Amino acid sequence: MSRPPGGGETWDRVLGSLPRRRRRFPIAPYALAAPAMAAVVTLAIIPLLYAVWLSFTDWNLLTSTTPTWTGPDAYLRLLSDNQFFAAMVRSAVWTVGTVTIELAIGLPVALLFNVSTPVSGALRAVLLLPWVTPYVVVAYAWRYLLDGQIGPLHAALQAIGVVGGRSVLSDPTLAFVAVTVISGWAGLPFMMVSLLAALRSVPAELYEAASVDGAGRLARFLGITWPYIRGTAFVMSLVLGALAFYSFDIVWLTTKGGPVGATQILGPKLYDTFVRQLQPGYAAAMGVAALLVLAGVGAVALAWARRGTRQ
Amino acid sequence: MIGTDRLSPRLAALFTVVAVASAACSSSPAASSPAASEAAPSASAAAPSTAPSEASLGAVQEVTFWQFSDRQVEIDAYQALIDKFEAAHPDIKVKMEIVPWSDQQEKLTTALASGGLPDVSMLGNDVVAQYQHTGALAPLDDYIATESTRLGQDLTKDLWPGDKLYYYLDGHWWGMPVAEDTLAMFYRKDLLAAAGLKPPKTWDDYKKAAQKLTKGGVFGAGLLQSIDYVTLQTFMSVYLSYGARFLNDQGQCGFDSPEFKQALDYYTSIFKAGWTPPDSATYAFPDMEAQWKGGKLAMFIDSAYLWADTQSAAPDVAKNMAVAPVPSGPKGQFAFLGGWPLVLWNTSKVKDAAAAWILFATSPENVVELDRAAGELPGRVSNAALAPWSSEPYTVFLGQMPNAYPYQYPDAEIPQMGGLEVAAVQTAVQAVALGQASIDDATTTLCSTINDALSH
Repeated sequence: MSRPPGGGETWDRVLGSLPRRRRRFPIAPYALAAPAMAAVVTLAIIPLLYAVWLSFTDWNLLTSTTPTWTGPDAYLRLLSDNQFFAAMVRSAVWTVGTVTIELAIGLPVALLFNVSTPVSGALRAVLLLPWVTPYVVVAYAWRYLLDGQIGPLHAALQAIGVVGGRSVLSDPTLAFVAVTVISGWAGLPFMMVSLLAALRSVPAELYEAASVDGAGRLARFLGITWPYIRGTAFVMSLVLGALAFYSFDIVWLTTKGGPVGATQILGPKLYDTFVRQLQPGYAAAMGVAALLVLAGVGAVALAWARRGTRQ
Repeated sequence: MIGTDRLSPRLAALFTVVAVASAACSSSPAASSPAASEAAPSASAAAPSTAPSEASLGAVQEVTFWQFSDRQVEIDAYQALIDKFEAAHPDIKVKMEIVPWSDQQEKLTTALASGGLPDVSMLGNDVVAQYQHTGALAPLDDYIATESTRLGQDLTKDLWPGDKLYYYLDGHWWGMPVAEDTLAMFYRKDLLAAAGLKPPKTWDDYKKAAQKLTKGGVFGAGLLQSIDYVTLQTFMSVYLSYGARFLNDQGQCGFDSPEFKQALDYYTSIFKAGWTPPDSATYAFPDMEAQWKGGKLAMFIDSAYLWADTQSAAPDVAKNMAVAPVPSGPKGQFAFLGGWPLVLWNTSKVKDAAAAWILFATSPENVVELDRAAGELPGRVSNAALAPWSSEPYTVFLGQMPNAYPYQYPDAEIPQMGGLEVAAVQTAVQAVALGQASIDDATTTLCSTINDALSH
């Protein structure tokens, strides 16, 4: 039996006074993990199990205050629900777009800030603002920027012919692009800071040796930097992707899923199904289906990553 | 691909936690316990309690009351009334909990699904039918009858005509109104005078005025075309006055009619012509109010509270501000009727005490203080002659109250309306305004959505 780390030693000293037979059971690890496990079970596992149970019921709050067990009916209904599939596709595109923006901009910015300059510390703090700013402020700030009458960003887009007199949020396609950009922008600092931390772990001697060998900047990045940080990049892409997949706040505050449903991704769709259409059972089926899709994609990504690791 | 061999197991654990936590929060907005809802009765017209008051048992009873306004002046008004009530009823305590309007729909729906409903709450008038249909509300008939007898007047005869379509459902009363709201037309006297115009009395004149007044960075009209509740609250005045009906004689979607298509064409044409701000199809209502206060609108349809708001936020606009009734169409004038009642939830264990609080708070002499604090229109016809409603601008709003009705006039409120407002009508308006659908296609989709909802 391995010795529990850290505080477990103290626990073992305390438990040392107990009879030998009692000491055989390693209480310390369980005692230390119990609060965290209780929180996970209470906040995540139980609601999830409830959602799964709910997804097998027909519960329309307009007709009943109690759910009725109907087995897989809600899932069969999902199969022919075009609006749900449209929301899933939008969520997938939104997720890929969000993570792409976060990675494509976060990586160069992290590389830039990895070079110590007198202003890099202050700028790092400024770049963290989108991450620490409440989404309601982010959404209203962007709505102002994109306003068709007074928005400075709208004026710039109009000047280069991207939009006409109306805000991009009035155009179904451009509105989707806009909210995806906002989502990527809001998540960018977290990606940047994570990559920056990974960059700090790259031994400086490797760069010195590579320079001696005549390696250029691109070669140093591909041969030294990227292998060191790609693990972090993958982890952060996966985590931020999972969060983006279930996004609600930014879309709801910016477009409420419009115009004409063009930005209705999964989060607003679930909200609408439960709160407005008053169908918690069906909303739960949507959520569970989405979780299964996300789990499947995650498993494939992890398998791909694991295979790459072995190679 | 990954930098270390030990990464994958950690990754799997991290990803699982994130996914499970996200899914749990997203897919289960219905909250936590299926058991709690078993307490809610399912009959939609449960008989009102006629048992002797629980108060007669002697113990102090606590009535939980969800109050939706977070404005201090209204909270104070309710607290003063609660103090007065408790002084008159020493065996009853009213516990007021503030649930902001912006959160009440989620809170009520979640409480309905998982338990935790209050004894009494305010409620948007457009969702009374929804909760009544579920069996979540208790009827108030017997309590109203008893109080009417005590006061020597039939309390239901002192209500505005449109309220009966909201609160009298399936032969029972399910709410007692506190305050009313209707939308009238604010306009800029200086701009209309400069254009040689008088306040338009018909929608045709309104359109002509909107065109003439749109110049110099000012838009003639401020008409929302977005998925915001005020879009329907304004548009309903147009379609009802054109003779369109939400429901036909068979109880199905009535919008597939020439009258509705004409109204939809009229309403969206003002946006397409550029006589309302270019982002009217994506604006939230506060955005449009900001346009008015910023002096960018010549005519704007809004509630009475805008009068005081404009005076405090935009004095330059306010000095040229006036109000006129909402315009009429070929079939007459129809105004939106908003407002809220107090309702008794069926899960209440202290129904008699809760009903006593409802009838006390909504009695003509008490509700007047709540209405004054809210700055809204009086919930009782008999209070309309009192200050401040006896002077401008309230006289204009009260003048159209006899023509103020729900969206589905002349029918009573339908349970599905809460979901249909946004998903159906406002989406159709937005789609036509933005050129995403023709009037025929939008109407077909609209009726399909409505009929699908009605079939559930």
